[in-house]
Amino acid sequence: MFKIKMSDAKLWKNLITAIAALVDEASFNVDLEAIRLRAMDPSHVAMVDFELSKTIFDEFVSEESTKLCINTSEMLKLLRRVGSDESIELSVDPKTARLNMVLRSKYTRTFSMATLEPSSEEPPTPKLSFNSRVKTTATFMRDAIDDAMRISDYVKLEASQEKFTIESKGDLGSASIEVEKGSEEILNLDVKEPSRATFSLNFLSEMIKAASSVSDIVTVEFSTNMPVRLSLELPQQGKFQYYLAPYKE
Amino acid sequence: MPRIKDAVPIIQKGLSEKKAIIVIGECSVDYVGRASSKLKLGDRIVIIKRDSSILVHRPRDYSPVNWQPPGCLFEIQSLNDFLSIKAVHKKSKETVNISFKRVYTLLVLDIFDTGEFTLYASEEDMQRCILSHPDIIESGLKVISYEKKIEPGFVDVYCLDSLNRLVVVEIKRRIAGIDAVMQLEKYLEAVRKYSNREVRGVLAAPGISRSVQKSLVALNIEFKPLSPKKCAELLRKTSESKSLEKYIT
Repeated sequence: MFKIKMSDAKLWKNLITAIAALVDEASFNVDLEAIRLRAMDPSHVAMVDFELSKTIFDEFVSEESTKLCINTSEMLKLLRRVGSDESIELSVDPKTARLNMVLRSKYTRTFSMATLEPSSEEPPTPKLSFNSRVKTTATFMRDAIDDAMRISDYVKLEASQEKFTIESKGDLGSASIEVEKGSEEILNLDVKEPSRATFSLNFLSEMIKAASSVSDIVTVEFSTNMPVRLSLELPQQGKFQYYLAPYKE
Repeated sequence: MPRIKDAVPIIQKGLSEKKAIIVIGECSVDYVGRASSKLKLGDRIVIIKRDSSILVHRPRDYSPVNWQPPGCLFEIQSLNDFLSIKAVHKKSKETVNISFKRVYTLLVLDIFDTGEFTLYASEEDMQRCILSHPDIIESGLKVISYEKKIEPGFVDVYCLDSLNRLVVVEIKRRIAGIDAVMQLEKYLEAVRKYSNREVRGVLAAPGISRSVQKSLVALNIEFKPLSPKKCAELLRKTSESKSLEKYIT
C-alpha cells in the first residue's frame, strides 16, 4: 500500500522537473519514513540525491519498503497544466501496478500511468569534502550561468575568502561574473582554501534552471578540480542535491 | 581563359557524360518561374552537379543567388559571342538563363562521393554508446560481448540483465521495419538453441514502423526508443566531463 498527498502540486511538478534534468527513468525508494531517489545520469557525469520525509506530506501511507519507478517525461506531460492552487495525490494500484495521480482544485482530475520495472541498485553518494561553500540566490546563479553560456560550453567556478567568480572563455570572447562577500546575493561565503574547478554548462544550466523553480537559495560547494555539489533549500525536512563531475581540461 | 566557342562543346560533352561542371566568369542571370528575377553582369561561380541540379553563386553569401533542384534539362550554345546556359526544370517548368560574357575558368570533373552522411551518431557510435553506458537500454544491464558471431551474422550487443537473462540487442539508427525484427528473431532463435537461459530480444531504434508492432508482440521482442541524437549527446557529455564514479569509490 502506497499513498502520498501533497497540498502543493506545483512543488511536486518542479521536483520531478529537477529530477528529469538528469534521469528519464526515476526509481524512487519509499519506506515508512520518506521517499528517496539517488540516481546518475546515463553518462555518469552527474547525480541527483533527493529525499522528502513524510512530514512534508499531508498524508503519507507506506506500509513497507517499496520501489516506485516512473518515466519522468511521461509524468511531466500529465503535470504540465498544474495550477498553484492544486493538490496532488499519488497512489499505486497493487493489482495493475499503475500509478494513479489525482489533482484537486475546484475540480478533480485523475490520471493513471504505467510504472516501470524498478532498477537494480542505487549508487552511493560521492565521498567528498568541500573547501568552498557559497550560499547564494538562485536568481544570481541562473543569470550568471546564462551570461556564461553566451560565451562558451563550460564554466569555471572560483572562490576566495573575498569573492565568488563565475568565468567562461570562448573563441570569441570571455565573461566574468563576480560577486563579493557582503553583497546581497551572497548569504554566506565560507572558504577554507581558495578553490577553482571547471564544469560543463550543458549540465550546470539544466540544473540551475530546474533548481531556481524549486528553491530561491542554492548552496554551491566545491574544491579545486573536484566535483561540485548544488543543494537546494526545500521546505521543512527535504533534501535535493546535484553532484557534477569536473570538466576534462 | 577558355574562348566562348571552345567552352560550348566541352560543357555539352560534360553534360552528356553526367559530370560535375564548374564555370567561373562574368555573367548575367535571368530566372522565370513561380517568380522572376534579373541579375545584371557580375562575376559568378556556376555549378552543375551530376544529378542535373544547378547553382549560381556570387563571390559572397553562403546560399546561391539562383538555383534549380535535380532534374534539369540543359541547352548550351554560343549566342552573339556570349556563352548561354539555359536550364529548364522538367517538373516545375522553371527556367534559369545564364549568359556569360567572359569565362575565366571551366572545370569538367569526374569526381565521386559515396560516403554516407550522418547528422548525429552513426550506428557504430550508437553501439559504442550502449557499450559504455548499457544503462541507456536498461538499468542493471551488463555487456558480455559485442559483434558476437551467431549464425546467420553478428549480434550488435550481447548482455545479461539484472535477473541474469541473456539480452540480444539489435541497433538501428532509423525507424526499424520488419527486416530488423526478422533479423533479431533469427539471432534469438540461434541463441535459444545453444543456451538454456531465458533470452530477451531488444530492438533499439529511434522508432518502429506501425506495421511491425504486431510482430513485436507476437515474437515477444521489446522495443527501446533510442535516437542517434541522444547517443551523440551522451558520447559528447562523457568525453568532455570526468566520470562521477571516480569520486564514489
